[in-house]
Amino acid sequence: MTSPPDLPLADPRPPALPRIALFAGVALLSAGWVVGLAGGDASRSVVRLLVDLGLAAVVSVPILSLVGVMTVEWQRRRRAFAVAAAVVLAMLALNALWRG
Amino acid sequence: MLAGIGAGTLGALLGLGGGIFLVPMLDVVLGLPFRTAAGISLMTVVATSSFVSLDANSRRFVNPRLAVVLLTQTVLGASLGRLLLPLLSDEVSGRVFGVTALVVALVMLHRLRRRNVILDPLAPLGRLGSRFFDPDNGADVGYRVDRVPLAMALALLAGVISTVVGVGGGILLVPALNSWCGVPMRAAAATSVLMIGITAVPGVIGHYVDGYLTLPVLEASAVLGVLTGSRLGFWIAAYSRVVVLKLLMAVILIGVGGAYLYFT
Repeated sequence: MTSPPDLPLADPRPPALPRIALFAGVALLSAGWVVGLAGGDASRSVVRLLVDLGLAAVVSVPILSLVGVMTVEWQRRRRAFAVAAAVVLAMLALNALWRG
Repeated sequence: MLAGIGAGTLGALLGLGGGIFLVPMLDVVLGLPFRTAAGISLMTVVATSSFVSLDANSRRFVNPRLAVVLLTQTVLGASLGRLLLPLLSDEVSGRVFGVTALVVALVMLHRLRRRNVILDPLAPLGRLGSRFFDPDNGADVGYRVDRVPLAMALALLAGVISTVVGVGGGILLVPALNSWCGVPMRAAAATSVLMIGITAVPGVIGHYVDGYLTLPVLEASAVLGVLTGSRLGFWIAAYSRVVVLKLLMAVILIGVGGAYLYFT
């Protein structure tokens, strides 16, 4: 039932950092959602802050996962895949800067 | 939130971003501006991808090496798409996408019964192949990735189309990987969700910086809905046969492709 141990994402135990980021994101978004529904105009800036932090945490998860793949492939001396992951990260950064 | 649940379910089930359903829902039904709807939709794609990359049940289907190799092409394609954007009219882009979707649907229907899995545990799987527990066979299965140059070309095309047409590349990438490159449906779907989430990150940042994400309660509802839907999608996928998933994918492709051809 298990996958080969050399495939990083196929390991059923997810890495800690992206998992913490997702939990934090869900908690912040849930808090923002509840405050947004319950509070009035006065709470608007609090809701914006909570949701912005939550969205930032969720957006960081795929990037942290990609960094995880890069690290594991580098450690296992499969350098071509690690370099490919680094190239993707660089292209994403350029893409975000170009757009922003 | 209901629209988010629907998008998340389809995302986890079939490897689609769900934007193709969520954007019209937010834009036409709720009356949000198109760019705001697109920004929220991209955010939900990232959320589905985050869930897939961390959930223990879905992680075993993801092929990270294939994802990384194809991502180099998809991200490049997305950049090329932005260069092509001013040169193509909405009508031409829509028709190209419509015809492509219908062709992919026909290929998928033609190969509906074909399984890409290798039951022999000692069979060589190549550098990009992988192994996972297949609920249809009740055993560990492996697969090889055939026609890697074709897979990379398809990833490039998916990146271009996702930017030019404004849909996630998953709707083309999943059936193409499954039909032409030997990747089983469940692995193609999970790998695609991871890929389109990573590809969507610059888009989310761009929409945020440009000031299109201005409805925090709605954004939180959509993302929380998608995360709930993703769990539902994987639960359904675990009890569904691959042929049913393929049929559902082909029906969605025909419906969406036909709609693009009819309305553009």
